[in-house]
Amino acid sequence: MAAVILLALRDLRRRWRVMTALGVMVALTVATVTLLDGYVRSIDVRFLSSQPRLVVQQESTVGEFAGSRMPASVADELLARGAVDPIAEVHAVTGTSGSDAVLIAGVEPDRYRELDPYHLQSGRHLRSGEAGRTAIVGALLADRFGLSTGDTIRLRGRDFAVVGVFELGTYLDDAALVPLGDAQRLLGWGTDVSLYVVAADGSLREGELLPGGLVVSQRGDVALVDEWSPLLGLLAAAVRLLALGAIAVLAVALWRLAWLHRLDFGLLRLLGFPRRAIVLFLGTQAVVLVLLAAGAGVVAATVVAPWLARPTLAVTTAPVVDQFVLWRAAAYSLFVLGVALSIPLFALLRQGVGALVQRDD
Amino acid sequence: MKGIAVGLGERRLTVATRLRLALGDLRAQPLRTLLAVLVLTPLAASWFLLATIADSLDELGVAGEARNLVVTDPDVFDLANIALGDDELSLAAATAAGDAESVTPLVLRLVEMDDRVLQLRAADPALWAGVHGLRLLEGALPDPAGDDVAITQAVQVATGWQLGDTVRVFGTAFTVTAVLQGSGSKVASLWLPLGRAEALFERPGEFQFLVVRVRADADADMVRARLRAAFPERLVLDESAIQAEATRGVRSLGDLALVFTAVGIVGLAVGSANATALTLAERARSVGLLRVMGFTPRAVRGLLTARAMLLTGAALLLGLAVAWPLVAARSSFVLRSFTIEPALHPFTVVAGVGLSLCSAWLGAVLAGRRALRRPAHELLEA
Repeated sequence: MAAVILLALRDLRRRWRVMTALGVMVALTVATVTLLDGYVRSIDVRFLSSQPRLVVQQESTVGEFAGSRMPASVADELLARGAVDPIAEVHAVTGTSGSDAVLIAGVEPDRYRELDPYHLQSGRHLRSGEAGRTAIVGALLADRFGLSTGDTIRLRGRDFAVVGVFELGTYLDDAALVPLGDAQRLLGWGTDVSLYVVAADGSLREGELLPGGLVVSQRGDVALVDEWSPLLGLLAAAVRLLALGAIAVLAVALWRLAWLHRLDFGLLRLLGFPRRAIVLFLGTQAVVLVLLAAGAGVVAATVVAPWLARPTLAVTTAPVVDQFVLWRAAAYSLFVLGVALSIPLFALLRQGVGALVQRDD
Repeated sequence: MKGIAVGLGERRLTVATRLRLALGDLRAQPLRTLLAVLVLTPLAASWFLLATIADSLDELGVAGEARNLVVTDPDVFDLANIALGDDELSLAAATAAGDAESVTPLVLRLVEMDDRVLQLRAADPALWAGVHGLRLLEGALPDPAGDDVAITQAVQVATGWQLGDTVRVFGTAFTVTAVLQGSGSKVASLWLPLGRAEALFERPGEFQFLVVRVRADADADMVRARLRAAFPERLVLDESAIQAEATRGVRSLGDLALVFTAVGIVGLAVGSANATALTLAERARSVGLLRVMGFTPRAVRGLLTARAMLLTGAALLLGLAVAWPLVAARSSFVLRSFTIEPALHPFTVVAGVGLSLCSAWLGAVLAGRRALRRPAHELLEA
């Protein structure tokens, strides 16, 4: 059987032009599927990072992003309702155009690291009671504006010293984190805050309405999935069709290539080789072709993904090509391989030796 | 190539002859032809879908009254932090003077409802038609003293709300009393009387946009320049520019669809090249026969490209038949408070057909190059 594999590989090399064309087709599809999947994944990872904590925010807003504002006295009401140790945050978007919009998060320097355990890429954390205005910026924001530790970022006309760059993997990677007091002064809010973070200990329930137009929501869940699903649905339909096309092209091409070899297969069968020799021949070609092409497609998607990053109202939308997405790409490639291979095999194995050795051109 | 082999002897073929011969060849082997078309059909359908997405995103944000100039805070992305008042209103009125039909406040907030972002707008109902281009479609305008709200058709499409439904906005239950349509109908907005919105936000006299309605016979550029001089610290734009800026981020997602569209075109070219290459591999001797009969390589190439373009043309027709109902079945939807209306426009179809036929031609030429360089005897021995 090793001889059959060798023959298959030699034939693959001899028909490298056709194989390359087929490979490009599969690679393009795998790359496209991976990128689209990466987009969907980015919503899961960056905007649906639910935490076992709740936020109390103004109703009809996504307070962890912007738009919510409430008096600091809400903390007392929450304590009266049994909530333990509510932590205040300020969230706003600043900027004059889409290109310079920045997400600002005002946080309590002594508390915020326990809420969002980020990885500090460079510099240091925020500290309480600092004399000057300081900020730590998310990795994506740093990339967008070419910022690094020691630089200055201008927020609503005021300069903040960048003392660190962090990575969390959520939408906060697009944010500038500043001490709560600085954020309140920057926005002219006095002691008002955007929201309070409370533990999900039963004192408050998700969806509970509170006086003053406040609502209790899950922390970290800022994606408006329903809003995006029609667009993603259309993209998914397009990619599914592309995938169907790739399967069809591959299946028909493998079948036609096998048909070119039908005389050889017929002779092999006459010489006593079993049917599985044909399976091995076609299988070898298909596996090598799909593996190489799928690998190239995944590499291409990984390389292209950062180029597709676009800031959409202060947050960067980009495909996330992580282990999860790669596994799905592998599963998709296996599916393509399985379907594309089984069709020509089914067609060939049904043929008798007599039909195989008959030429029709 | 049974069809092609009939009545040959011409060395130069007209386009019509090429097409006739290629068609005859395709008809001679209906099963293979059908397979080749079916293989290319999903690729063509995918292309039409992707082009539709790119097209609909490109149109996003083309909304707003052209004669409305808007004065607002430069930090325009956090509407809750914008607080204009009577001073700005008076200054704008004095600056625009006789060139303005009206200078009025507009309260504007983004609200998250039913897992989507909508706009909440508030102005004097007497101005809704004249300044904001709204038209009452159903119901009655909200009572300024009651908890009534009007919605645009876009909101109705997005949420399915009907007249009489109750919706909670910023902690207050409002009853939907009117459905509106207008130039801003692409924007999914809830409309309140100005006074009701001020009470809702507990910010009397505070608004986010100042709207200067320029007279039809006035020079809007001059008015804008005067307003910019009077409000050096503010943003002065026409309303459509504001909408375009607000949707720029979402529209940039159309880049993704464009990338995929380009992939689709490459896919069609590769698919076509592949089909031609396989045909040549299977039927090299037929090509050799054509050469022996006097066909020049150029004439054979012409036949191959005509064949590929016919196959692609058929696949495009089928692809269109697949994509059209898929697009038609998708009703418009709201993204970031703007309505996206997926539709397959004639221009997109024509562009798609043109690009696809070009890619098919290119694919066939590339695939045929090597075979056509081989001498006829080699092809016959293949």
